[in-house]
Amino acid sequence: MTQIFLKLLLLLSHALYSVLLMVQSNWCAVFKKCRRICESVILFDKPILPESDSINLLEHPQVPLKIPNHLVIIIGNEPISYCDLVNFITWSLPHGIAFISFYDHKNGLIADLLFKAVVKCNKNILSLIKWGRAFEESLKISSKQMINGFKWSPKIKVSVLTKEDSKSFFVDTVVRLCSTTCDISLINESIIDECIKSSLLTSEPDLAIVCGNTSSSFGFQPWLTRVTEFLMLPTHHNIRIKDFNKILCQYGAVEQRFGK
Amino acid sequence: MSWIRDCSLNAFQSFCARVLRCGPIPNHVAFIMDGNRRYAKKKNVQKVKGHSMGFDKLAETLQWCLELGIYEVTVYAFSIENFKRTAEEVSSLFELMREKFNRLLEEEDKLMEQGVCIRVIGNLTLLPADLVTLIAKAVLLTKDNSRAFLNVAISYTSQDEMCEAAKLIIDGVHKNLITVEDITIELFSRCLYTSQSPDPELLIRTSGETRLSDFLLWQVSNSYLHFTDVLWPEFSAWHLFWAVFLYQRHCDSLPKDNTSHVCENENSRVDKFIKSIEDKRLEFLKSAVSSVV
Repeated sequence: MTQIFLKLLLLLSHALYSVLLMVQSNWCAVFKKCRRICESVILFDKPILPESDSINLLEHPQVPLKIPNHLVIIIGNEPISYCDLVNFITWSLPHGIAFISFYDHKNGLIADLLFKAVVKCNKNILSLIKWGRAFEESLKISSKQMINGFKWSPKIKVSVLTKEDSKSFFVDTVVRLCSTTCDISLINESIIDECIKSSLLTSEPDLAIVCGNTSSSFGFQPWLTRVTEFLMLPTHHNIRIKDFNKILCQYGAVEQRFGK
Repeated sequence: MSWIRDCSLNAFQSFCARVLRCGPIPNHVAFIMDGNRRYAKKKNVQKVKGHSMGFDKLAETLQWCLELGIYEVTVYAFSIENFKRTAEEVSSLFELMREKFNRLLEEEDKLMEQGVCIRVIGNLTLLPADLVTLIAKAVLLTKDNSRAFLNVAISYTSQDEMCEAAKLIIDGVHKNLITVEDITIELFSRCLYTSQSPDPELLIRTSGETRLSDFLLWQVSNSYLHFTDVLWPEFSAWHLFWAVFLYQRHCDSLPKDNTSHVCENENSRVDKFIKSIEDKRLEFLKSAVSSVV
């Protein structure tokens, strides 16, 4: 009897917390809407560009204290919104982020569809993108062909990583080392590091933005998460540049000690 | 302060622990006990005092974990990267470890009565010989206990651990102890220092940092990560309860690893290989003890 009472109490606590989260989220949505209306009234004489307007954003980036060289977006358990993923690429450009990777542990993120979303949502940035892991050669060629009147001068490398690039990829690396290394005393962390990074065509992410409410790396390649900062984004759906910049500023304020 | 202490939960906290126990409880929790030095600075005391208070907090936290039904805990005590700190701080940390492991050996009866198994994970060859002897004595003394498990990471980084495991496997293939086909995620997990433990379902890091700092990267890659702003010496039972409460809300959303340390397809060659690694590790500990006698 006592056990049933305690269990009910726990269920009630979780239900109550869910209600609180829902109220908070709705309140935030209403607050944001009101603020946007106020802003449009105050700035009535200026044209209000949609938030996803890339040209406006490229001209007015916020400047965090430091920027990640490699940013990874961990999709978590959310359904994928390709146009919102394109926004991450667009907004990373003015900050000088050199690598951006998208990781979906459910393997639902299709590189081809991401490319098509870039073409559809913001074709202007094609000349600034180098397509990395998971993007086929034919796609890379057609990307260059689509650049009209611009020179291809890549500023950001975009990759898509899957579950197969995680633990099983590390194990495959060990298998490869078996045949390429005769003397195990030659194997060290730098050799493994080099093998992983050169095969995955990527580097250690400095920042991982985890989308959704579940705080986890969702099985992202463990070898690469040594110094990665994990920051949460409640959802990547309809993400605003302010939210993105806020996360970058949060990252910029972190000082890593590297054991010291 | 003692490793084994009485539970410090008040009546209301004990009641809350009972309520939480009605939901899913992680079998294994990992802690990055960060913030000892910042706490010392805040309280205007020496760094070593901050570390000592951090240890006291660990002893207290272990009791809270037992109250919640968490029977395995892994803590990050000293990273290989921490050797970069000043010689004075490193030697005072080692002195604190000597004191605590001596204390642990003095509390043999209590430890055996409570059935606590202490394991130390890390590259022990980098530590002073006398400290390794103390560690080896404690590990050997408690190795057959199975009621609760405390894994202490000393002179540890995850990349070092993964590199050592890779070397063991490659060496095994070269010596024809195993074949390339035997190399799987499961085999790799069984070659890590943590081979005898299930992966932690929950990782808690204190002091507001939101990174893993080279701790259990392989083992926590599917775990719930809980980052809290509180400094480790200020960590309370409420912070632990909150982390477990959030874990309960998300445990079903975490990715499931299809592999486990338990070998489903029996492979005597692999089992023999794993056994030889465990024997070597045991032999190392025994030799560390016998070299002093």
